[in-house]
Amino acid sequence: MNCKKIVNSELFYPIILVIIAIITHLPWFNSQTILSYGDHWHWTNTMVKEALQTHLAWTHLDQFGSINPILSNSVFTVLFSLLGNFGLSSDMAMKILLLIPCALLGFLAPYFLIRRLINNRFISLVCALYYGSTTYFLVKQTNHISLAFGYAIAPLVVLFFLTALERNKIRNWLCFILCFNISIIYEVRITYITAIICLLYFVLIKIRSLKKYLVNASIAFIFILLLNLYWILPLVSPVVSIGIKSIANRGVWGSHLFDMAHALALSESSWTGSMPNPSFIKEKIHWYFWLIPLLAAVPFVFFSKFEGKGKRNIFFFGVILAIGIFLTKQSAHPFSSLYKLIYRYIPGFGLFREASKFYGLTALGYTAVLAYSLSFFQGLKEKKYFLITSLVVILIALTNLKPLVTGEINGLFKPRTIPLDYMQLEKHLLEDKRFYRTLSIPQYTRWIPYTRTHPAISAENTIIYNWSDLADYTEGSLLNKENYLRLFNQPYSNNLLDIASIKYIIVPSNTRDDDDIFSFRSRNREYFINNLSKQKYLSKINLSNIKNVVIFENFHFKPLIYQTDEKETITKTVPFTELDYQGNSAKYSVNANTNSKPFYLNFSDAYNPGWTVLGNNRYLDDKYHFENEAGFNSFLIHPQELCNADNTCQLTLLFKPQLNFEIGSYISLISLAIFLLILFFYRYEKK
Amino acid sequence: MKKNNNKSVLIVIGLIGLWAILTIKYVVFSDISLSVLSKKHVTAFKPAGNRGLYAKQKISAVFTADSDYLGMVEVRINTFNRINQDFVIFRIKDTVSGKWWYENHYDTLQFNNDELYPFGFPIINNSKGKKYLVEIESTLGRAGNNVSISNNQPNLISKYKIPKAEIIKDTVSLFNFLKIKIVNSVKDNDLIFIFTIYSLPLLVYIFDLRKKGFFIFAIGCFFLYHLFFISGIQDELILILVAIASLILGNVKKISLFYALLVVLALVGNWFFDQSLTEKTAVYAFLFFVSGLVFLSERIFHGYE
Repeated sequence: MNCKKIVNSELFYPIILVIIAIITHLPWFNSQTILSYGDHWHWTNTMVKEALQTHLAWTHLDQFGSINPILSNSVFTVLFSLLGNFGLSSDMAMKILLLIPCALLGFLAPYFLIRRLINNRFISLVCALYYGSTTYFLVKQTNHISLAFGYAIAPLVVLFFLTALERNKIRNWLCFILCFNISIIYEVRITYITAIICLLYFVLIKIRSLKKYLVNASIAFIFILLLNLYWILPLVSPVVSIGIKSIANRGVWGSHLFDMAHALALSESSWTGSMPNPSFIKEKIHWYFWLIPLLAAVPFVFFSKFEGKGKRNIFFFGVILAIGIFLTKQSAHPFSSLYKLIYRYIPGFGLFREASKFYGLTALGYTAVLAYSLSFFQGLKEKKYFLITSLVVILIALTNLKPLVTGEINGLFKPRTIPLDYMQLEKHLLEDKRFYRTLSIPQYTRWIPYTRTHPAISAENTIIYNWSDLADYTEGSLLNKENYLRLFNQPYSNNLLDIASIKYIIVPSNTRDDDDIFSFRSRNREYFINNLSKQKYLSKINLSNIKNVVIFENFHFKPLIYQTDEKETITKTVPFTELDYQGNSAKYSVNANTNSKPFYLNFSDAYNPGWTVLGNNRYLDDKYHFENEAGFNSFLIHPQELCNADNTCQLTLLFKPQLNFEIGSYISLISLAIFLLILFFYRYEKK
Repeated sequence: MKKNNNKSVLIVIGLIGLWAILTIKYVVFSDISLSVLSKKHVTAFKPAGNRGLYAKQKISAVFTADSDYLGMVEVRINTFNRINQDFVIFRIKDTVSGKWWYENHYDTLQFNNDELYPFGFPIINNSKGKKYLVEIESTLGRAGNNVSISNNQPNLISKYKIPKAEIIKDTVSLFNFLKIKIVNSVKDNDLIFIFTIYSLPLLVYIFDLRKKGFFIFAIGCFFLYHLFFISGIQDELILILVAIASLILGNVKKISLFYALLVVLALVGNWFFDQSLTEKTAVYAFLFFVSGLVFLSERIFHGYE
């Protein structure tokens, strides 16, 4: 009797799902594990603490600094940094904010959505298991966790939207706004897809009642806009929008990884059944994945057996499914060139240079349609069909989840160890308060220490994004050994590294714990070490307790901000004066020395026209802002214009879009306060 | 009454136009461009083993040029569906002369598994009737890191870039070129089939064939023939077949059942490693699914549901 009561309890199936989430994601629930793989980079504790200073409109931690293309997740950064400053390790903070919610939501969010659609707890459980075990979700959980989070929360956003439409109460709309914004904070690209789902539902199913929703939907839209103004407002600045466009419009990529068969069977190209293949190769589809599209036919074959609301939902999720499949095939047949056109001409689609993110649409479509398939079988007199189909879906889900439990899946499910050398290096860097960069050749590993005063850069990225001419590199081609070496063996190399504030050149280790960065043919570790040893301006050094990482020191590096009497150049050594400065990555207060003669203020972050100098309440004319030969910022300062009459010169070095970011942040904060107040007052609004 | 007649005439003219345009498009775009002629050379390369080319190992093929102005050969490469960090040397010469006409290194990272890779070279003006030797040599190949020639046919296609001036020099040249182009296309069995399929919308409209048993049988045969015997995926052809089949099936239930049948066929193709069959069946299945949704939308939006 008691057992029946427990099974019938509302919490029974959600608890089962939580248990499954914990069992399949054990390393994520373990406070001791260090997890880093693929695009999920490892953050040192120092990085987390400093994140509030470095992740602004201009971020200092990406090569020589760059426009921050993901300002939308600033709220996440703030929370992350706060947890870090409260004493949590970076790994623990990441688990609390990202990994654990992702693991739980992946199963719970679809459960509650399906529960709302068909009001059957067992079917909701089965469908939640399916949604939480699709190959796309599992692969993203191994290497790109923010995308996985966006996928996991999407059913919840849709659920809140459907509820808001159904009840049309302020409280429900506020819940939708809250959930939608959480999704934006974590992953704006997936939220874009989720927004399309909501919009389509409205257009296809509710457009006739537009008048009824007009007021509440408008309020919701305005709130969403205001709450996101902190990242939308900087986009108004041409400097930021052009920068983001250049990232977004890199062209469609990876068409060889997509085809109709993989899209229809929802089989992520790298899925092997154990560790995903990282080599950008299309893996064979497992035969049992075809059973899902087969089961999806059931509600359409027996369409007339469903009630009106069910029919509309089947149709709607069928449309979502079809759109998902069509987009996920990318440039495969039919209409192979359509994806490129959509990518180029439809606003927002520039964010999807490869189509895998649309697997989320397919997954949601299949989950809902599967729910109606199971619901049909459940309605039959013969219950065995229902049991068989449920069992088939559960078995497919469990088969996919198996490598998570056994650990074969690797990626973020395999705890890592930080190689001791990098911990020693971080300790050494933290003891040194001067600003300088470390340059890893050919590429940095995920364990390289990043701090605000010691940003890490890699030779490969530097060649591709900053110094392609100097390294004789043609855009789009593969880098060869000589390209790397040209940064170090040219007559200008010493000056170049000095101007770039590079003190240490690091050749990473090739131990088992480190990233495997030397397996590619153009990356020969010994070749790099031997050739760097030949450079007279570099000296191989031994830092205490560092054994496998090889380090060269460049002694005469220049600071981040300094003053020269003549224009900075890489062809000769220009004498400089170090300046006092303080600030964050987008704004510095600088005390310059002046004897009333014009001077150059040099700032070794990547040149960007958004940077300017403010002095005496006046902005420096843009014509005095130059890109020097190393690709950094140089400003010609005329003291009579920007300095005081007594020759004191207090300047502000400012990335202009930061002002938009600050204004937007204030508005968003005020909007958040108002939003929470309204939510508080409407919390008991009648259903 | 007269209005209806005019409408029918217009539709018939439109469908004839569609038939002609689609057929011409197929003939023109079956090669890289209008001025390019192609020749498939089946089994030109001897069947390659499963281990791929090791360093210094070569694989070669001999073919006879069909026209003048030979400028490219496409070779179907087997990458064993993995990333291979090798460089191969491609060479070509006519079998009489001892000197290679062209030789270059190619990065194996550029090759896609089982796809034709175009090796271009300076155009050979008087190539017609001559025998050419194509050779591919590995430089760094080793076990697990090398490529080979695919055994799927054709694994060698020669391409001839006829200069435009040559084509339009006079009426005779133009006529000869078009004759070769059409004859090449007709020799290609696919064209006759595709030509027939493109005529179906017109035939269905004129003779109202939807309910005729033999026609339904014919459509079924076309499906199977396209799935198993025609290489590549032609969007227009598939769309026409799906549209006509959907009209014949006539309701969501039957269309969805057909979709389910195709998914099973895709599963079978997948089981037997037939990538082409799986992909083509998946495309059909998807389009039937969409066709079912179109039928449903009518019921949803017209208030029947």
